[in-house]
Amino acid sequence: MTTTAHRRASGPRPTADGTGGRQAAGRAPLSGVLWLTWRQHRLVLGVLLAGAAATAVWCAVLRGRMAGVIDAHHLAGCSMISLVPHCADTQEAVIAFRAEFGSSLKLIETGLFLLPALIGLFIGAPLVARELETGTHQLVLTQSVGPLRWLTAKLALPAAFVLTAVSGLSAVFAWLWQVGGDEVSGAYWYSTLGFGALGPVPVAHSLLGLVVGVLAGLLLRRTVASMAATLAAMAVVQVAFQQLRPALLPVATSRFGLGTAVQAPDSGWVQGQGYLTRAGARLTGDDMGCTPNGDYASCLRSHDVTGQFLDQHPVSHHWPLAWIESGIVLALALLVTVLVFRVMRRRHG
Amino acid sequence: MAIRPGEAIGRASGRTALETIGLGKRYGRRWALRDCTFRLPAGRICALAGPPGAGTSTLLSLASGLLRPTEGTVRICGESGPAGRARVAHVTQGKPLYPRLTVAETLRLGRELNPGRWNDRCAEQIVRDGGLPLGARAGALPEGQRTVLAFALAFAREPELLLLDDPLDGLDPLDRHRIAALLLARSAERATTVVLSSQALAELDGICDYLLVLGGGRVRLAGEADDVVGMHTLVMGERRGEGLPREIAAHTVIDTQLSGRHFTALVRRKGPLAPGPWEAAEPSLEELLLGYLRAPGAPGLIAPSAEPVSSRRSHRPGGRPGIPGMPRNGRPGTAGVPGGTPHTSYHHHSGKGAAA
Repeated sequence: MTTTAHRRASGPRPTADGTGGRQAAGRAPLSGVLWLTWRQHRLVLGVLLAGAAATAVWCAVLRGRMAGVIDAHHLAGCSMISLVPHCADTQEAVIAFRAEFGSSLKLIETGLFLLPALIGLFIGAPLVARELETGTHQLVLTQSVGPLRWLTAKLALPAAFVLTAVSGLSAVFAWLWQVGGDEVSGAYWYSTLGFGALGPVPVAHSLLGLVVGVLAGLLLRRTVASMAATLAAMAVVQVAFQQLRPALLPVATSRFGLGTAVQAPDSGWVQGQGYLTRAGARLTGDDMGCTPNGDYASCLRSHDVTGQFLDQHPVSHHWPLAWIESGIVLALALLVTVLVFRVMRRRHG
Repeated sequence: MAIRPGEAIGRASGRTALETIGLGKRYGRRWALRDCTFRLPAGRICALAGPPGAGTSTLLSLASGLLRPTEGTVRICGESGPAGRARVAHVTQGKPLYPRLTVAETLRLGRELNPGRWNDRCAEQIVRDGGLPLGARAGALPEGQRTVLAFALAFAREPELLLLDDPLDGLDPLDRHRIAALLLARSAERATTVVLSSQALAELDGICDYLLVLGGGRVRLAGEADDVVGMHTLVMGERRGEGLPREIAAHTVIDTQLSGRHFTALVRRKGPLAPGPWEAAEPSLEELLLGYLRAPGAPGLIAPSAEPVSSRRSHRPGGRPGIPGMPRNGRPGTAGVPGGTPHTSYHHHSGKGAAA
């Protein structure tokens, strides 16, 4: 009743109601601590849902337009310089495609990539820190609800909204990516932005951002300080996963003869390449000190080189990699949640 | 509180609203409260005083369960843990409210967060009597109305024990008077036990009938206000030589103020005060509290009624069934037993200076 009465009818709201409004539906109003949590944070949670819904609509429109261009010029699977036979003479069309859609795609990618940090900053960090800063937690904790129930509601409602908004948006973006990603746009799945924007990865990172923000708020008790700490923590997590990501799954190795050109598909994420000796040892050009202006072939022979290798994550590794990373991130989020509850229990019993 | 024949007469009988034993709270290396042991009989309005940093806020927060004690126990009406917590309402310092919530939404907050123990009529009546507009945001209310709203939240929970942390702070005299009247009327309605901490000592006079003074994180003074006040005398006279006259110094001197050629001393009598060239008067509550707050080294005083039932058993193995002939075991005027004198036997915290 009150929950819907307070919602101002604005453009994307109906969509927001349809996707995330299960808890906030007019017929089953929130009660108890959940009502309070919704009443306090409805603005920011509404903005999140509305933003996600608007972006999802944009993704759908963009997908339609991309599909039209691709069908008209037969661009499916073609990149700027492509060896695929049916892509002959499509270079200009691909360049035109990238000029038309490249920046929009990049914008959505960047948005999804940054969303976890933004959620931590603007939803997670102020969630508890603002209460501790202004002393209003005392108002709630001196009522009949226990501190742990309050904290549960405080985490669960925003988590439900984040889960709904980010997974919905991520799914629509993946649907757009099927058409406009990888070769044709030059935005590959293994790029930092692309990997962070596709599938379960942004969802897991968003939930982590939320709980990291809450933990920072609980420990620092200051909104601005906990926002800064959340940003720093999320940056560290992102950098760490960029280093760690290729090692989450064993690479696929291809072998080539000495004379052949080493060629990987554009969608493969190359991790390394070099020469193989008869004994099976791996050498790179630098290891041997061969220079192209000398007698390169005899230099290679002197090192007993018999072939070449290429390590890569083929496109088939994308989803396994994404799920492994998401699993680790969710485990981290769970750990932080346990910490949050422990801090709360130690402080207020 | 009617006393039936055959029931133990005196302070040892009667229900306990709040009891703490060895209560302590440490922040890092600093003890905000330590070794706090006392009992508050039910139905009283207790003044809680102490210099800043004495641990009054900490004591209230430990009692309401807002903080977890580092050591010791708290019991509310004989219950500890969540069962005890449910019987307490606590208006914390500064009366925090969500500034963006309207008055009506703030009352809804109370209803939502206190399922099963929320008196809607009581809350609405207090808000209506205070003239609060239901649609106004709590953050936009003047201080007096904020206090009324905080009180409405507290009283609508129908608590058995109400803890108020400096609720009169920041109010103008007119609002103070109004809030005090609201407090007295509402607490009398359901015989709510109230602990009221305040920096404005003069305001406590006329509201409170029980005293609890903390100093340095410990209990300095606890007991019935009238009895405690009656045990003390304020002596004023002309100075002759250094220090106080011998006849006065023979009593327990709590605090001495020297100004020019005059002295003013607050003493706890060890018997009748000898007549002399000085004036003796009963101190006001404010003068008494001020004296104790100014003299942190003065010997403490814990009246038998303020001793926890469990700890007293070990204290006095004789197990005297209370002290006969005690005045006022309930609200003033309701159960006053005639014949109470200020020369009452008290157990003194310091172990010295007991009245004859």
